[in-house]
Amino acid sequence: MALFESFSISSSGMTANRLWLDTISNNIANMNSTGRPGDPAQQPYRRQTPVFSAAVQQYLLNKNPGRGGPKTAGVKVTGILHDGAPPQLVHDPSHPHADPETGYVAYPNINVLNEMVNMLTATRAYEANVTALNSAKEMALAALEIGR
Amino acid sequence: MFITPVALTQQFNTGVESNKQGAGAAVNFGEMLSNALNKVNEDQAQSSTAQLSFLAGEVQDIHQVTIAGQKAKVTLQLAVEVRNKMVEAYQEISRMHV
Amino acid sequence: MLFNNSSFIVLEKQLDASALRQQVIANNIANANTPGFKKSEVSFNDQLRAALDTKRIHLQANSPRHITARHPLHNIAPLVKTTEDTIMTYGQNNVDTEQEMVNLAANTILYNAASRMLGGKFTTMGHIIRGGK
Repeated sequence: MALFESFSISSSGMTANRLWLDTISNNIANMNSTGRPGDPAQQPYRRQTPVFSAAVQQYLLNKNPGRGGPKTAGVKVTGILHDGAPPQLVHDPSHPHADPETGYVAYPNINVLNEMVNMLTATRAYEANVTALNSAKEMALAALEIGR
Repeated sequence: MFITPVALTQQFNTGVESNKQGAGAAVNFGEMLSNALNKVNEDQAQSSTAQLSFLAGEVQDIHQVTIAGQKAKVTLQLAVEVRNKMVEAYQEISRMHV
Repeated sequence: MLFNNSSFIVLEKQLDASALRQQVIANNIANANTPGFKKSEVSFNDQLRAALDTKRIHLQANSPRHITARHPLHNIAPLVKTTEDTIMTYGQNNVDTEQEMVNLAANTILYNAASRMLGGKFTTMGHIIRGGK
């Protein structure tokens, strides 16, 4: 069922991009969630990124084994990656998270500019999936009109 | 006035005869009719099957279902029109004074 | 018999191919940000052109006892090809979203056109059968 299949493919793309937007908002919201440097109990927030991978649908593979049919069916998020980049250290001895010896506070490794660019990319990708969904819908409605 | 006979009937007749002599596979009218009706029935069944498997969510596209439905509709329409013509012809003949 | 002519078969096949292409394009768009993903394309026109070029003998059957041959156009099928050798963005992904949107629009129009042509054929046929009534 190619058209209904493409509905679910587009919806998987929309879900994945919405999840990406969610992590971006989370990143921006937590850009000041500080931690104490070198204290494992009070780590700063770490940047999150979803990991996209192409979903493979088993029954499609079974249906047309050697015919080169579509082997992937949409996108899925296989996990959320925590950025391993070191936190930014800011000297602020009056901060409650400040290291009592050095006076440094660990800020998350988030670059707002980077997040904004990713946000635009995710929004555009979401819109592209919406367009694909709409055209599949249009095609299905046109097929219903055959012989009317 | 001399009216030239319609050449097509002649051709048609000879065609039928040669068919009879040849393979012995002359299709008589009844057989042809029942074949055609079988085809109509087949198309209807195919359309129903397509609709059912579409509703069951099996691998079918909407256009395949609507096309099967249209084919069934057109063949049935043809069969009905042929039947109407036949009934008309029969009535025409039965009204004929012998 | 009624529907075993080339234009009917080609229109049906075109609808199948366009629906498949829609699925493949949707998959490309959904995976536009997937690292390592390679786009796929559906080719149908080449197969159709090749099938129309070869003038194979088509046996006409008037009786079920005749030996029938499937119409040669029944054998054409769309083919899905994956483009492996280009890179568009980071992470080896090669989906060009703009290109995909253009293909999507063209494919939708193609599908709508084919379905309308087929619908027109059915309407015409019904009209003829009813004797213009």
